[in-house]
Amino acid sequence: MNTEMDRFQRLAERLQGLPAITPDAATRIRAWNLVSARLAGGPVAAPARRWRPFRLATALVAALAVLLVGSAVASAQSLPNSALYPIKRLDEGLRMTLTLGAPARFDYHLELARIRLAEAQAMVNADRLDLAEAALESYEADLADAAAEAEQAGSPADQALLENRLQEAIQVHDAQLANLQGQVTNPAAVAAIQAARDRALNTTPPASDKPKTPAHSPKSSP
Amino acid sequence: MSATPSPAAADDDLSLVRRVRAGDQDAARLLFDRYFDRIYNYVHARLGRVADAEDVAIETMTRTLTRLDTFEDQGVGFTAWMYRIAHNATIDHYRRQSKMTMVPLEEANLPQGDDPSELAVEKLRDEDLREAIRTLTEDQQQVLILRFFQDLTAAQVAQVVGKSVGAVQALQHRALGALQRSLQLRSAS
Repeated sequence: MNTEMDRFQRLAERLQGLPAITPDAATRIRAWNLVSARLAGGPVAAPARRWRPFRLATALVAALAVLLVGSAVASAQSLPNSALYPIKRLDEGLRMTLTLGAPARFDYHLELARIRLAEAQAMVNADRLDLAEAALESYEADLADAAAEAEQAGSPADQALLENRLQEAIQVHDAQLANLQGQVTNPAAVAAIQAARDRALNTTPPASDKPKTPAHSPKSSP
Repeated sequence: MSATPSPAAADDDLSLVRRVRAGDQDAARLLFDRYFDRIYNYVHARLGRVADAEDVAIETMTRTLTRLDTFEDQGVGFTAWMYRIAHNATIDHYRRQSKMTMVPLEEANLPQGDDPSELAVEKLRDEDLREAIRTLTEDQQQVLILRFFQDLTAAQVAQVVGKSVGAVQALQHRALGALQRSLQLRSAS
C-alpha cells in the first residue's frame, strides 16, 4: 500500500533530513563586519527634536555642525569608491586622535583593520582592484599600529594579552582573505591578496621576540 | 534542519529588540548571531548560490537591524517578521538579476501518466531535491523551505506568508505534489 499521503510523508521526511547549509566562520565574520559598518550611524533613527528659534549666527553654526555630523554619519557606511569615503577616513582619524590609552587605541586599530578588510572585499567584488589594494595596504598599516600599541600596554601580562588577541584576529582575517582569494580569478588580485596575507601573518610588535612565523602556513589555503 | 524558536527565545528576542532600539550594539550582535545562519540557510534554499545567499542574508540582517523601530509585536512575531524581510530581499534580488522567469510547475507541461509510487525518494541526491524545490512557485518554495528546512510550524508559516493555517496546509500539500512531479520529470530525463 502506497497512498498519496504516505508518499508525501516520505518526501517530507526526506526534506527534513537534508543537511543544513550554513555559512562558514569567515563568512559570518565578514557578514557581521559589513552589517555593523552599515549600522555605524545607529540602528534606530534619532528622535526628532523640537525646533527652537536662535539668533542667526547660532543657527548657522548649528546648521554647519549638523551638516558635518550628518556627512560623517552618512560616510560611515561608505566604501572606497564613494564620494563620502574621504569624510569617513577623516572621521576615523579624528576618533583615533581622541582615543586615549594603548589598549583603547589597540582596539580601535583592530576595528579599523576589520573595516578595511570588508572594504577590500567589496572592492574586489566591484572589480576595483586599485581600491582593494589600497584598502589592504591600510589594513596592514592598522595591524602594524595595533602591534605597536600592544607593545606599549602597561604590564608584560597586558602586552601578552593584546599580542595574543592580535594574533587571533590575524588568523581570523587570514581565513577571510583565503576565502576571498578563492573567489577571484584575476591573477593580479590573487597576488595582491596573497601578499596581504603574507604580510599580515608576519605582523608582530617591533621589539617582540616572538617568532614571526604563524602557527599555520599562509599558503595552506587558496 | 533548524530549531524552531522556543517561547522563551521569542521573549528574549523582544528584549534584544528593545535593547537595540536603545542603541545597544552588543544586542545587535546577539540578534545577528542568533539569526544569521538561519536566514542564510533560508536564502540559500531559495537562490541556490553561495555568493547570492551571502549577499541577500547580509541585506536581510541589515534591513532587520535598521528597521527595528518599525517592528511591533502585534500578532506577528519577530521571527516571522524577519522571514518576511528575507523573502522581500530575495524577491528584490531576483528582480535585480532579472531572474523572474520561472515557470510555475503547475503550469508546466509535465507527464501525467507516470506512477508516482515509482519515485524512490530515499535514493534521490540531496542536490536534486534542492534544485527541484527551486522549480516550484514562490509560495510553494516558501512553504516547503519554512516548514521543512526551518522547522517552523504551520501557524508560524501562516504568519510569515500572511495566509490562514488551513491555506498553508493546503499549499504544503500542493507543493509536495508539485515537487514529486518535478522529481519524476528529473528522474525520467
